[in-house]
Amino acid sequence: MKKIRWSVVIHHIMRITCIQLILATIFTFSLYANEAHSQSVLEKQISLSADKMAMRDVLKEIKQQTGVKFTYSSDVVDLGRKISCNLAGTRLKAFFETVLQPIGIDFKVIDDEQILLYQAAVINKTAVADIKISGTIKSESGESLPGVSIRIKGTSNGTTTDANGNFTLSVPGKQSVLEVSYIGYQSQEITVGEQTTLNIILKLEDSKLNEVVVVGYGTQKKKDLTGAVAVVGSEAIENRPIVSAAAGLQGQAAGVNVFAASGKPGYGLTVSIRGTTSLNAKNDPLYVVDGVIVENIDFLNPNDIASFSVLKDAASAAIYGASGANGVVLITTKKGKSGKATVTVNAYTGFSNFAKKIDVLNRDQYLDLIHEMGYVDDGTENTDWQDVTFKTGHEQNLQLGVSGGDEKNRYYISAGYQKQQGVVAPADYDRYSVRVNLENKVKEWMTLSTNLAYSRSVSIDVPDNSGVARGGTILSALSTPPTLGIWKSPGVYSANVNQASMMNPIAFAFAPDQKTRDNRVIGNMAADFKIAKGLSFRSNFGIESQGNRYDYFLDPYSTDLGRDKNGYGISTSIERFVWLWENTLNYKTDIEKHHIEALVGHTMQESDYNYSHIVAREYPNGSVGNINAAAIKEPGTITTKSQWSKRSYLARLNYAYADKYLLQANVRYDGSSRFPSYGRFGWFPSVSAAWRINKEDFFHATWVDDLKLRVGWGKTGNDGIGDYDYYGRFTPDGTGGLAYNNIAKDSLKWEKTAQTNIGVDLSILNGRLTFTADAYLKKTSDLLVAVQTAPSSGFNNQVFNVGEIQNKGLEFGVNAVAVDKAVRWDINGNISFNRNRVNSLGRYTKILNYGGIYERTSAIRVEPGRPLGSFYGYISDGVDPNTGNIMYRDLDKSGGLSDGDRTYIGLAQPKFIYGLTNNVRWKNLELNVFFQGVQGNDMFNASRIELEGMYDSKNQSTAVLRRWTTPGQVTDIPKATKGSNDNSLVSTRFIEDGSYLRLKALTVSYNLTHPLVTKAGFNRLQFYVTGQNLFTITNYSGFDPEVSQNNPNGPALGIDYGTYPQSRSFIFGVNAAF
Amino acid sequence: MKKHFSKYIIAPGLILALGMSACTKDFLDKKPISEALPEDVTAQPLLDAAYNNMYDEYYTNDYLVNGDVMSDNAYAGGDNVANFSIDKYTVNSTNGNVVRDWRYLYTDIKNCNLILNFVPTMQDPNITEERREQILGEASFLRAWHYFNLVRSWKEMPIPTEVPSNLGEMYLPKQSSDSVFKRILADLDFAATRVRSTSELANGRDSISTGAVNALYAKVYATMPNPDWNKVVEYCTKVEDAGYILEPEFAKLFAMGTVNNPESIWETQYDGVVHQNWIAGMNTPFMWGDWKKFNIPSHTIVNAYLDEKDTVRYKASIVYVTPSWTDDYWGIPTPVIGKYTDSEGRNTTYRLRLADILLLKAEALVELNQLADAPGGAAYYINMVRQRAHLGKTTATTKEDLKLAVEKERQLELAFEGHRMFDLIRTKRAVTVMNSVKDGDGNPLNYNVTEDELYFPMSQTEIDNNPNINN
Repeated sequence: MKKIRWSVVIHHIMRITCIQLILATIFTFSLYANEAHSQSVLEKQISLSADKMAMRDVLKEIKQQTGVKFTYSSDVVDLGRKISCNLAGTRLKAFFETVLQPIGIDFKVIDDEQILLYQAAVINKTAVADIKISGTIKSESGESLPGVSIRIKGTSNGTTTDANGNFTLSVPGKQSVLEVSYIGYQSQEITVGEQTTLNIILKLEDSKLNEVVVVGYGTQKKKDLTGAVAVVGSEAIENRPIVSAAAGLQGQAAGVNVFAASGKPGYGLTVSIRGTTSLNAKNDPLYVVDGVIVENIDFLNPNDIASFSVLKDAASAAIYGASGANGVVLITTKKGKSGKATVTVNAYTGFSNFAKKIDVLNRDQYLDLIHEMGYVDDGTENTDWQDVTFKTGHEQNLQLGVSGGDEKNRYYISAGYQKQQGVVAPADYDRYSVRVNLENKVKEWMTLSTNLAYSRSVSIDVPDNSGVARGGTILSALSTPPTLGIWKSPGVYSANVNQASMMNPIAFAFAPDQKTRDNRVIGNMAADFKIAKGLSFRSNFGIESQGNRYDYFLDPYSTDLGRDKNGYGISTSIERFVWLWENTLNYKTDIEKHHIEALVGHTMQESDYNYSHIVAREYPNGSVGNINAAAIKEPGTITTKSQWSKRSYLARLNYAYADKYLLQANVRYDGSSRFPSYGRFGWFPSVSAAWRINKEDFFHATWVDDLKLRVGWGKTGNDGIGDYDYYGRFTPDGTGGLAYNNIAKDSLKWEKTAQTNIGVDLSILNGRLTFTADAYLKKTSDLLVAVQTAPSSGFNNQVFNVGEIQNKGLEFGVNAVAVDKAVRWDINGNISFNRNRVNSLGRYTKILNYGGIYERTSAIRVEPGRPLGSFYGYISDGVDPNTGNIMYRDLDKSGGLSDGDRTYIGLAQPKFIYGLTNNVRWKNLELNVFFQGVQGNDMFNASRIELEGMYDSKNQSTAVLRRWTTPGQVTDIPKATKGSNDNSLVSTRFIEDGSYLRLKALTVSYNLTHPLVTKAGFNRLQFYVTGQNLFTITNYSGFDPEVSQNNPNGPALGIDYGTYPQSRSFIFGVNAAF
Repeated sequence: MKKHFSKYIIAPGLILALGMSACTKDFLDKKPISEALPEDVTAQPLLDAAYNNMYDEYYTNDYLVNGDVMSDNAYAGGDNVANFSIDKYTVNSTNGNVVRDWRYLYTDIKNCNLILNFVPTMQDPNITEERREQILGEASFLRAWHYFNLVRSWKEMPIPTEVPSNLGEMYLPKQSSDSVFKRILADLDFAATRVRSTSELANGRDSISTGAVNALYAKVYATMPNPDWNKVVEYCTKVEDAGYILEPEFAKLFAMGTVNNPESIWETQYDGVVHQNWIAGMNTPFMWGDWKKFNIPSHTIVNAYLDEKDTVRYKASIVYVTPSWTDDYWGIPTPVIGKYTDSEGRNTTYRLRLADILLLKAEALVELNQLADAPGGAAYYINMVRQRAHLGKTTATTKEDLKLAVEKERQLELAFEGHRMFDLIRTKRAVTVMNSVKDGDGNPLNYNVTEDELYFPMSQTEIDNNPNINN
């Protein structure tokens, strides 16, 4: 007897909370002491009649009648629970047996005056009078739901539905309440009562409020968020020919600016969250894929993405400490769902071209111009180089996925192949990817998550972002004389006869044999341990491994450069490995109306980087293009290695009272090898609060589902700097010497960004309309500035933390169901405003120049008091009718053109950016229209310097037909000036409005639901047609206003210099599941 | 039952493992792998870096722009605005060459300062005490050499002699040209007792020998605001006595592969692989293809050779090519510099050679009124150089004529070696000569040079960045 009781007690210990553990331990001993005579307490008489009375009051009543005290933990015994019973003149024992035990509460008599209440163990089916019930669970659409969990409330007893959605279960009594839950559906509670057959219909969890959002080191319900977090689901990517995952974010979330700086196949997109915070450190957000911090997300197959979660403010990003200053993009990949295995097939094919052509001079017009300048060109051809160069690109995608599982093991396995063949051949991008995501409930208390992805991409580049003299293909297609053919002689490409280095575009694109191969393995294993109720421990180990190789070979005969070098070869290789280990302890509890969640953790991360770059020339035999065939390895050959490591401690506390007042505090203590030892660690705190006004008693507008006010403040850091920047370092110069370019910087630290955010979330009419607004102020101090040293020191600029920069902005997002009848029309729009200003560059640095234009001055100047991306140059007052030269305004009254005449002439930063998605569904037909735009920004069209400059023998755009030729002529294009840059300096002449509104994607899809399709085994069969970048409304005269020669996420944005534009594509695709 | 306990073992086990790993305190210590820390640096690589500066853009091409293009020896050519304005005396403080040359020379000085600051106390098992002193001497000479080039083009400037260790030490004030010359002489004094002798370096003329030190002494004493002509003669004689001899065949000096010629006092050598003398690529179509080239020989220099019937040096100094581009001053064929024509860039650059010193000695002797065509007389040394060029003796006999004879001889002998402009400035003839330059048709080029324009303005970057510069 005693033995049995022990085992029961121990068994209970396993599953009860800490409080219970303590209570149980104490009382178990007293139990022994009093057992003999204490059972009599159960014989006490009670008389109780309750009709939906709170448990709290029932127990109080019994205490009054019998003098018995109850001991219990509130997370086991729901005191607010309403119970009904009618026990007249019965014994206390009957109360326990008929009322408490059926709802899963067991009892132990401690002594004459005390009874311990606790959560019941597995209900002994034979011991209780069971009611056998059976049922089916379906979705609203009538689909059987397999794997649905049915649990008898208050117990761990339960079952799951079979493949057909059926279940049977024995319940201890009519009072039993069944909890029915299934991921993605609203949970239900059903009291068994007289029923023995249950037909349960589960509603989809469509309420956005209950949507679970991935946040740093955990998840939160959307309604509980206190910070500014934007969520973008996979629907934003679906049916679009997206290659780079970041494209899925473009125009989808307020405050998230995504740039496609180049339209080249496979070219990674740049993401900027709430403005640029840094000049010298990274401006990209931190990317975390399934808990693994990764360098970029280009390797990801967009088809594998389940959702993006963008942590925009410091309150939510501070948990990532010194890496969080530019926000965090958390990506979750698809997971398997329990139930029948599903096979998905996703395939599309299509073509692309450039939406625009720039008119250039034809043969006769060209010859007129260059003869005017005194050049001779005896070429006999008449070539339209744009026709020759800009062809039709092709896009293809095939993705196969298998997912499924049961309650314990779930899997998602996919394989994909994506191909993008550029409009400018031979530009090409091929990606092969494989992903395995597993979730295994190994034990009741241990879950293992495994994500493993491998991707390989092979790409062929065509050089852009430079003029024809430097090998830029795009500008070469515009400025190569029409008098040339592709070939000068068999096997030798033609070049401008007046300048041999200006080869034709086909030469630049095809002469080099070059390829980049990138292999990436990203994976993690995470184990979750449930230690006790509410207490869990997670250990996550992840890796990112990259092998990247670039090989280039230019033969010794077909081009000018190749002939000069007698064959030219480059081989670059990058090998990178990063591991990450994170351990977090999570505790969660509800005490009455108080909800508390706490997290503490420790993370370690280490990176190993190897780089080698070999340059070689002299290939006597042009048929062997490997470096081993080269007679001479050039001094530019380098191999370097570097490492970094990080160690961090983090903690978070979430507190919510009555779902009404929400509070969150984060802190991270970050240490990085990139900073000197005594200042290596830093604190990154944040605190945020939210008030759900609609939960207040005074709030009566029932049509408001949610009205939440959020306010938060936090500090994040930017450690995206060089690995060894604080050391005084001697760098080998490649020829035996050592160069000392970096003095030791003992004070070097991370940039600090303090951000305040105020936001409001509104959801009305059952989620029919949701609205989010945020305002923020971001101040970055300790800004790393390339302090301009005096050249006489012998040193180039030295980077120190001396500056300050700020961003402030407003963001609005709205989701609306405009029509919800036979036709459903969803609108999703967002708009964001960001204002940026450099406050200080420190004591020594007055200005910094960026955006160098070939053979001109820099186009962009950074100066305190001004925003980044400020264009700086001369003001052009048009063409002087007398001289035919550009009149530059004489601002310094020096009487001539001088440096002092330059001033601020434009701003590359937009006034606002916006996105608008309309989705209309009628029966099986769906139309999705996605617009995206940027307003109020200037572009510096440096391409026009090459196309309207008329200073050498390049072909020019037709604009130069208006060139000045005779005194008195009034025109906007100056005269041709051979050998002189004076009319094409960096000036307002080349500043243009870069605003645009673009129909980014238009998709029409049709869901085949014909019975035959279902009969054939398809769950889904959808066909679609998509047009990408169909049209752009802009005044910009270049190919594409979205491009940027330099990193758009930095100080040198907004310059178009022969940049490869985005193409317009038409795609036909199918999505099937069976 | 026991299985259930395992979670109490695994989880704390992990925490414990974590705690232990947390104890590895050097986890966050990552030292550079591909770069050296100051404590690991040895002397020889620092000296190599200082010598490698002789391959920088200033010492490969710009020294020639400043010495020849700015003078009447060459036109700017090419398409570079900065070169055009140097050619035409419209240089301002933002001129690209001015800004970069200023920076190059001070970077070179920093590399010498590194050696002079750190090598005296450096723990370096690779060197003997004797070698340590040599390294210091060579660095000291190189610093003097860089300052000599700076002071000839800019006159006044900061004189850093220490490597700055923090920002505050990076902004030094400007000093007078007298102070610069003092610094140069002090550095030469330091070098003179430490560097190896000419004979030790007979096959290593790319290193600094006592011959180079003495040659630079001579040039410095001749260039100072108040030249000391006796010192010039004294040091030129020391150079002569060290055993240098004129290469009998002038063209051989500039032939591909000529290194350590007995005429060479100090030279920069190019193997064509690690180092290429890309002046051939910049100035001739023989290397880097046939784009519009820089530094095109002038009508003045061509006529000077023709007038003097100096076939030997004419042929070695200028070659004619048929380019795809057109030059502003020449038709086809177009002259290009002929001293550096190797397609792999293997022609030696002479920093100091005997002919320069002999003619400098002649210049000093003229100033000292020792004019005779006999040892110790100016004409004697002019004729030594002329003889090698297969030319007859100079006809000049008077002081004034001999002065011009030296000038002419230096022009013909040392064309495209970066001397001419500094010769004209030194002899105070620059304004006169430059303002009378004519084009190929005999029309004046109207440079309208003033004395002030003979020197470069200080780099605008220095003015902008240096609050202490007092410009």
